[in-house]
Amino acid sequence: MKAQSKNSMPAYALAGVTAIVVAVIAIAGLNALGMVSGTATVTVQSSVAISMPVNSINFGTLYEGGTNNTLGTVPVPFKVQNDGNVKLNVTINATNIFTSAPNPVSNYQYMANVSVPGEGTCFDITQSTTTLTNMPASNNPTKFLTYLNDTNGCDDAEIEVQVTVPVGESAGAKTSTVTLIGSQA
Amino acid sequence: MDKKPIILALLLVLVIVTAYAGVTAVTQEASKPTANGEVMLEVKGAAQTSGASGQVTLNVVKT
Repeated sequence: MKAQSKNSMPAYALAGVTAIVVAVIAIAGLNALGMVSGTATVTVQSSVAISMPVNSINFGTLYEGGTNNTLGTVPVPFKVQNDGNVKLNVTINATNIFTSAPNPVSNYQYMANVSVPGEGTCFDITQSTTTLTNMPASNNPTKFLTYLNDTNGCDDAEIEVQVTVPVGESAGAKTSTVTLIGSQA
Repeated sequence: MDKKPIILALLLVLVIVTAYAGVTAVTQEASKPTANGEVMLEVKGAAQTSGASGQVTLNVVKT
């Protein structure tokens, strides 16, 4: 028979308690190992979309040598708007308006401008064409608007146009189609 | 024959084995990266363009 002090715990009881404690630790450890990490991938598709809320400029009647432009807001300039969810660069090109002076020529010019009245400066004016510049030919799209905002409330710009009828230009109706192409900046 | 020593011995073996497994599990878990999950956000920038067009018109008259 083993000698046993009055206050000591029997060995088998101690072993049982220890076993329970260790088993709990082991279960906790195994449970921790059992946690599975995962990878969730979220894809946000960019949207590139532009529109022209103002897409017609009519200068009315002009004589040979006569000049008119949209800088005085009559007629109103073109307006381009970013309808997508990314900043855009925009190019411009146009068909000839005068038969005697094909693009690019000083008789037909354009420039980007801030919307007035409007949404403020919604593009990078330091990297955009903001002085009157000869309109590019239809086969030569040229970037003129940089970082046009996509934020609602500030996502548009004006395009001013100036025409000067060349001396010797034939009389009659003149039309030019101006094409803008936006791409992600 | 007193069976208590045998039972105690078996319990001790069980305790040692279980303890080893538990400590190993905890150690391995501790050595793993702390992040349990990962979220990747990818903004796809497909080459897209959008076009719009307008018209400039005027009427030329001779002086």
